[in-house]
Amino acid sequence: MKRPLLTAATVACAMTTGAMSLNVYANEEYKLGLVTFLSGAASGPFGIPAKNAADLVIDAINDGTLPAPIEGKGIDGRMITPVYVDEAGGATKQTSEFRNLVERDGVDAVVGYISSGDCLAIPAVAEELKMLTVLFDCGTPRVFEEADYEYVFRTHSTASMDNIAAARYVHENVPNLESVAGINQNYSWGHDSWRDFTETLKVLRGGDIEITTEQFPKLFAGQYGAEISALQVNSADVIHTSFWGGDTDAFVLQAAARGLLADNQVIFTAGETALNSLGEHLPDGAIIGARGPFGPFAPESELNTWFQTEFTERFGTPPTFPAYHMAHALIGLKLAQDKAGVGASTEEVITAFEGLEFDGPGGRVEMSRGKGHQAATEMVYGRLKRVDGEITFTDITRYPADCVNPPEGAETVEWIKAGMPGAECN
Amino acid sequence: MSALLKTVNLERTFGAVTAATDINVELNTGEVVGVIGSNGAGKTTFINMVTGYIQPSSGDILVRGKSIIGKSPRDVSLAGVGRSFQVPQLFQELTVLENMLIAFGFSVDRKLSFLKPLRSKEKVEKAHAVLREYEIEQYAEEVVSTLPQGVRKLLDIAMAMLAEPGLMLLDEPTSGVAIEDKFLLMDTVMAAVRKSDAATMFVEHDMEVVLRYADRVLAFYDGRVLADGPTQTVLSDAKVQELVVGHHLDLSENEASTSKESAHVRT
Amino acid sequence: MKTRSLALLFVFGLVVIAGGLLLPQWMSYLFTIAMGKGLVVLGLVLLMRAGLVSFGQGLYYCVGAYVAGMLTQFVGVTDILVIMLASVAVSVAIAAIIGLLLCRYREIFFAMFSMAFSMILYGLLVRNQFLGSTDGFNVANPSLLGWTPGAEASSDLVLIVAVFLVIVLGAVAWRYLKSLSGYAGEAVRENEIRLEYLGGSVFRVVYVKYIIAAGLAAIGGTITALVSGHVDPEMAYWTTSGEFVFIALMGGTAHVAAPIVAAVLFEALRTYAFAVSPYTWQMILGFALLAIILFMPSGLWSLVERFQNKKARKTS
Repeated sequence: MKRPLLTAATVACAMTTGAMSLNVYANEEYKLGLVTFLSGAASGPFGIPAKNAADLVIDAINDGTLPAPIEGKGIDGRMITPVYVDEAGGATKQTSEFRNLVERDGVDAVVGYISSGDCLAIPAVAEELKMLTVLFDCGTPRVFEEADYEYVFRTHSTASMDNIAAARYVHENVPNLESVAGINQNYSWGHDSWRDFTETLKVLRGGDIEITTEQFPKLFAGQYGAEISALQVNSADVIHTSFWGGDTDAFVLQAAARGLLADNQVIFTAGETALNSLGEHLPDGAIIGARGPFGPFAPESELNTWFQTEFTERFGTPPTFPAYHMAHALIGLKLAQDKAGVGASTEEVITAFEGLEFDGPGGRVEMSRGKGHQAATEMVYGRLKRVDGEITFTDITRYPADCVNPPEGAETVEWIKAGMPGAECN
Repeated sequence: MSALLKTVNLERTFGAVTAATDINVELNTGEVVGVIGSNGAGKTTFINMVTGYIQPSSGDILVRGKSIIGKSPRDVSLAGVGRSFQVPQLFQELTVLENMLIAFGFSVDRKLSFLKPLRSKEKVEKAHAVLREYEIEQYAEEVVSTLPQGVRKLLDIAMAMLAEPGLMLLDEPTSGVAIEDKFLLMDTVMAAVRKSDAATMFVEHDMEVVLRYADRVLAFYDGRVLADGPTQTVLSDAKVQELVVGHHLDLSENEASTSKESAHVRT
Repeated sequence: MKTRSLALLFVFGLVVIAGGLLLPQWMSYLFTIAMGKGLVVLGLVLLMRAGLVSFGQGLYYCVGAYVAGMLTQFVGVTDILVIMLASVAVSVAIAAIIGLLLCRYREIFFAMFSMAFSMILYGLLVRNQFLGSTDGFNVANPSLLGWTPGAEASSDLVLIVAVFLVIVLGAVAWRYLKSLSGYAGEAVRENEIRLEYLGGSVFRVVYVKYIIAAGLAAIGGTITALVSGHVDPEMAYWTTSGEFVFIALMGGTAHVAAPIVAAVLFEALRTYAFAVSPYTWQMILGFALLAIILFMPSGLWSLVERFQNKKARKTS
């Protein structure tokens, strides 16, 4: 190789510029890494609402203005300084950025991750680097089913809860239920959602349920002409969809135009985020889920009223479930730190966090699965009904946490197929 | 001994157009044949068929008794038929020396080596020797695209000659070359060709060149061979003069070409 | 190769390894990833010198990564040498088959076809629930000849192996480009007809290069899988292949070191873009590429050549 020195110099320059940015963080700040989608398709429905909630809650924690029982200013007596990272780029890129947060930026904890792919890749790195990490939005049940983690927590239920509850809801609320059809996005979220829904329904109906068609259009396909035709031809009593974001919008507009929504019952397991933009196109009777007791399904409380009012005032739209998820993650982290005491080590905070039960704007959160690291909450479904132009819900059913979340140590699909032993429903 | 090249009832049609038909030609070692005819007469089609670039519609082509029908240009080259191009086909952005080295590698060594450097001392010397023979050695380090047409033509021919083909086909070797340089170019080329004892066939529009260098002439007209014989005979033939050459050619170059003929016969 | 150059290269390799180990973890991680990507781009550069731009190197990058992942996670084989060999073997086998069809095409057809094959793999992986579909799966830590380093030390192990491979393969590639095979690439780019008439087989030349590029991509994928601990189908998505082309254009095709240096700079640039503007980092990358295309169309390596007072030679 000619001029190896020159090459070495070029490489060294690239590296040194990186080294020079190594910050020494001030001890008075609590640096918090916040990873969420700031660009790309998931930023609109999830990433930005989550980020907004983060800004709101962090300011409130710093100012000490959260309603009781949350008290004190900041976390661990220090003001929170958020360090935002865009979750775009894929799992390999994100593990890289996680390392940057820990080693280059010197954060005290990391809250983040919407994509299931990232939630599967990051925990191993979090354990390696011994960084307290709170997963706030991803749905895959695999995180704590496939391994145990000491430094990683998830303050919301898995997506399996959504679909197990969905099956229960249609089983109980749709008269003469004989068949279902599904339209879900062609990636793990869509496949897992459909699988959990149909497996639960099979158990509940004793195998007596027909699947007329299962459609798996490409993520972000945008055009659902063929799928809607298939759904109309192979009509079913209930159509299940776990669509989110732009896909939901596109699907609803196209399906409404062709009368699919008027002629069929549809259950949108993650439909809450679309309520604001699509309200008038969704027909009365559409079954909507909010991934838990969030948004319109949040139980009355001082904290929820505060959250709804402040968020709507500051950002112009009411908070949706990603915002609630973020609020819960931050509040959970704060309360665990408070319980461990000021100046506590990471390991002491972890001990406090394990098995913690607390109240967020979306009601009660119990860290009761995954050896105290995985939360279980209740799940709520309701039917949309427009009253005087306002969106309200009827036939609201609340499913207790232990009814629709697999118990500690159980693997979701196996638990469902075994008949959901140990489920405690009303 | 079978003829070096023999075509039997060679024909090529493109749809309704007959580009060449009823071509029966025999060529032996050491012959120098000029191929003449106006544009569209079938000369290039003939050359393309003989070098495997296109396949004849019917008929046969035998090189040293073996048919080359169906063979790719690559296989035909390996069978001992070399070709130069009307527009020199060179590796434009590489230097003359690199062009030669690559030609050496493929035509002579015939082994696709992975780690042996192309530029070894002895290879470079060999390449230089060839360039010297073609009188273009001084351009060795120049990039081909910057060179004049004459130099490029010589390089094109030199590269084709490396494999020491038994039959060498030159497609309009002096086209695009300045008039005063044509004879110089042909002198260089023919000297190298005669050294290797290859049979040569060259397509030419310039009758002076044909007169001076060819022993034998093939005249094409309308897809057929109009005449095939010694240069003087063919060029003075009335039909050939009427349809191909025209009547203005000065055939008093007689002595020069005859002495060349006898010189050739001796070697 | 002259012994003096070999010795110099060896020392340089040791220096880089030492530097890599001394750097803070996050930097050496990025550096290892860059080494992996650099190898993929090296293969791509070999093809580009023959006039072929492959938009499908992600196929072999992903194959290499998944083979590494499957061996460590499902079969329990963690020896890094065995994994490397297996990745390369599988990749080369696939390339040998696909190449029979693909290497008959040129330019836009070659580019599109190569992209198509990588997207086929993407589609297959997405449908496959066992391999985690779009979420992929985690990769266990590698070992070397029986020695199993802990979690931290295994990143160092991968770094050392990566740098070692870059040096060795880079030297071999450098030697290769000086051989007839190497020059043949440029001959194919310049004039295929001539090459055929010289008795060379254009198909064979391109086919061999395609297979070499696939092997290099597999090694790059394996390195990435082992150091990041995770694989997912995104590696076969066309944007990943596009990223490799981006890096190739950044560095240029003039020298074997160009892709490596460009990969390092690209990773550094991207991570800083992330930090400096989390909302508009893509724009920074876009501007960087635009600047390179406008001011240094032969890639960043043309700066080095200017230093050496070389006549700027068109190589792509």
